[in-house]
Amino acid sequence: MFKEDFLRSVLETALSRGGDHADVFIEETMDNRIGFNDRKVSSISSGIVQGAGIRVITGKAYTYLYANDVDEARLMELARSSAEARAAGTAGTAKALADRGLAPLHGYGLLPDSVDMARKVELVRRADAAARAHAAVIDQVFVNYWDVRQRVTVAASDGSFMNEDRVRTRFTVRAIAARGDRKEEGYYAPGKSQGFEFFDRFTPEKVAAEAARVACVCLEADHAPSGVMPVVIDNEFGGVIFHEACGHALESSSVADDASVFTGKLGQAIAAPCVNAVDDGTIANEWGSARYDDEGLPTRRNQLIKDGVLTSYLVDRVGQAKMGIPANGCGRRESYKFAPTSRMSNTFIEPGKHTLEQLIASVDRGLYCRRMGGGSVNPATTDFNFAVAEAYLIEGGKLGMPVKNATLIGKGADIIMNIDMVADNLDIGGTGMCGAASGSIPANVGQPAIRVGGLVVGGRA
Amino acid sequence: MKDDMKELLQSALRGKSGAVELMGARDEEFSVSAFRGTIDSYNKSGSGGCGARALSGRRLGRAYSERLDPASVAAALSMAERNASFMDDDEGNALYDGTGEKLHHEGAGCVRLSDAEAKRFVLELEEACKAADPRVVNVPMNQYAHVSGSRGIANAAGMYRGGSDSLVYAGSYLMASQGDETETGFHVICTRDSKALDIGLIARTAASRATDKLGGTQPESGARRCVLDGEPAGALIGAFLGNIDAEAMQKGASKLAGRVGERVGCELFTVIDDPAAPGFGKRRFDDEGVDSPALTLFDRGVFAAPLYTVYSAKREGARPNGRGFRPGIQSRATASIINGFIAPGALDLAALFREAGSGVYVTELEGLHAGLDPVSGDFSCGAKGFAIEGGQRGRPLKNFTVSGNFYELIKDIAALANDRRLDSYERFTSPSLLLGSLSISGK
Repeated sequence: MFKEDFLRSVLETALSRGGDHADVFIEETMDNRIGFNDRKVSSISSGIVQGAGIRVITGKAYTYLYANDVDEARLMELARSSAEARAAGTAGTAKALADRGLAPLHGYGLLPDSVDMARKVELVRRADAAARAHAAVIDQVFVNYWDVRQRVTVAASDGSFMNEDRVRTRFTVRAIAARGDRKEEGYYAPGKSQGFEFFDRFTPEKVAAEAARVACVCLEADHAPSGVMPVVIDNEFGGVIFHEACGHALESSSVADDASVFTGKLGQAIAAPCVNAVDDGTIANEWGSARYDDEGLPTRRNQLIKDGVLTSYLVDRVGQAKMGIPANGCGRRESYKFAPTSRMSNTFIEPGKHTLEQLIASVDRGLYCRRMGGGSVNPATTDFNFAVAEAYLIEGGKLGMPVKNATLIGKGADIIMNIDMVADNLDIGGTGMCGAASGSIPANVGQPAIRVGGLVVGGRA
Repeated sequence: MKDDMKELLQSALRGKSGAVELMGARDEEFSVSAFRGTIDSYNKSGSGGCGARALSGRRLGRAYSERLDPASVAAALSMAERNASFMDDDEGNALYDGTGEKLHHEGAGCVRLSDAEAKRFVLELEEACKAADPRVVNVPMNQYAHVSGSRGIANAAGMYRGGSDSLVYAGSYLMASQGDETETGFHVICTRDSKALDIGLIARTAASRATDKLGGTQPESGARRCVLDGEPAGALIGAFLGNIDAEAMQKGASKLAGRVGERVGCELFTVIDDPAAPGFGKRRFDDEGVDSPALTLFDRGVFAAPLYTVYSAKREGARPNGRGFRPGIQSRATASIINGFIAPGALDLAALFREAGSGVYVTELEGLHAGLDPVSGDFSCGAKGFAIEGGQRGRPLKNFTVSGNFYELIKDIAALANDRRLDSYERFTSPSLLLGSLSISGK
């Protein structure tokens, strides 16, 4: 641990040739990963990530330098290199550091370091057995266990200072169902900001059964239809559609550079009136939660869209410098190897008044997406694409045959205008890793079921 | 590779009698970018670490540390030994028993720009992008970077493999508008000589990729003859090459299991992985220390060779072929292409359009990371492109998907162009392909 006075001198050194703001991010992370496949423990790895990064913001620009294996001498050397990266200017100052001292966002029942490796290995064996027991057609199972403990310190020249101990646990099962030459897979991968108590709720049997169920459905599925049709997207990971189609384009990293369709749209209707959307990093024990962001600011619940009107962007400190809008606790990064930027945490559409059954009954011919896969978006155009992991035809208001290999495409700016029904079954627990300029970070998505008119479904039938 | 890496690894292994191995890594990166006439970001880094693997009987444990002091490296070795004790007995678990020393420093002559030159370069790049077409309205990314990485692999029996590589790359991402419509274009060049970073070429290519798409319309749904441009073709086919990983075949995750020597593609489908050929990937041995010869993976449609790690080779009594790849010190060795490509044809792109007559020219595929099922081979992705009309590239098309199946696609290649990119940062590249039929979903 570095003393506060020393960190202040690091920040002053970084600002010695000018700069409006400096911060230092110091990290020590320990993780354990277990891989299991082909009925065997296939890998076990444990390790330590340790390093620090120094950022200086000058006007609308920034410099970022990082190194690993840092001690006091190396950190100070990094600060001097940071100063030398800029043309000489008037030295900036760093205020005395004062710990924000907020109470932890959540507690951890059983820290992963305190659990014997043998108990962790037992979990992956149980998942394998449960997936195979689900159906005779399950012929291969891949299981991954991951626990990670990240200890973070952020000190900034405005005097802010924080320490946070972040623990996360994730359990992934990929089941393959086979018949003849045909192979289909199902996948389920929940995660939480929890210790070993995570497995009280997400037992290996429960996660394995869900992955195996999806694989079995896909084995019976025909190719998805092609064309434009209404789509009902169910809750939990269905929220990836808002995350990709709209959320990324609300991040200041694209908004501030006029590289988002939502630039300049604050206060304007950008979505249907039934759409209310939130990014909330403060939900206890959720996958994307933390007390502080990686710029040292407290996380917040940010109402992004209220009754269809754009009410907030996600703004980091560089975005604040560029846009003049205060940073709102969303500066995140994978590790010290990335400068932070505006990112989502737990992002979801709030519940509406309909039921899922009403949404399905309202569609004459369309698609019901029970589980979504991943997707991506171009924030400048909001062109998006999503894979659907489990889908069914809707015919005459009733669920029909399962279909596979469907992709949904369109423009995010259009889709949020075309959401015309929102159900009441909100589930925010869709676990994912979100990749962008500041690396791969834990992010949750969620929503209640929504109905969207006129989406392009890319199938083959 | 700094000289102290070998010493650090070998001193940590001194006195170790068991089967243990250490991989040391050091990476340095510099990047600078411009936006609206100023340098808006400047990044510099140096990092590294050490990954340990320990074999106990037929159990292999791993651990890593970004702390490089002797005590931390020793602790990583102990952790790897502890983790091995929790593994299952598996006949494949082994460490390469190579001996002696081999070195391969690829990027030693890599010519980089100085800090000042790099700053000038990105400012000029932004100007060139703006000047390339009046419809270019914003250039959010103009970046130059150089990266270098070194690896050292040592075992307790005295083997040492040291390798390093350096690259420079530069690119722009821009937006072009016409009325209410905006399209984006991106182009990056990756090379080992900064003189090859042609500002005009980057700007013209990025700008035309955006402006050419303006005015695009949605095509009708249906099965169409397709020309798949080299970049999306490389990305799409490359995404399915996990199926030639011997371990995937052994574990029921590949439909190519048991089919070495069998015709699975058409006569035109030849895939080569040659670490000595021009391209991004250059290495003489893999991350397990095994020599990496050139391989023909598919020979005129016949599946010729799987990719082996030490693990998968031992499981079936084969010789490892130097494709064990560890993206980082924390990673398990998994099989990977090093510098792979589809053998090109003799036609230029225009001739491919003439050959097609009519159909769709697909220039971009989106969402490949999610829109394909690696096991079944099915894919369905968002796409952009152009109509092919009268044997020529015609009007732009957008808002459609392309779907098909990898195993059907490699049987359906009617012709190949000669336009494989050599300045790409991809490990797998392809020329443009003429395909008999793909399923288009639009109107």
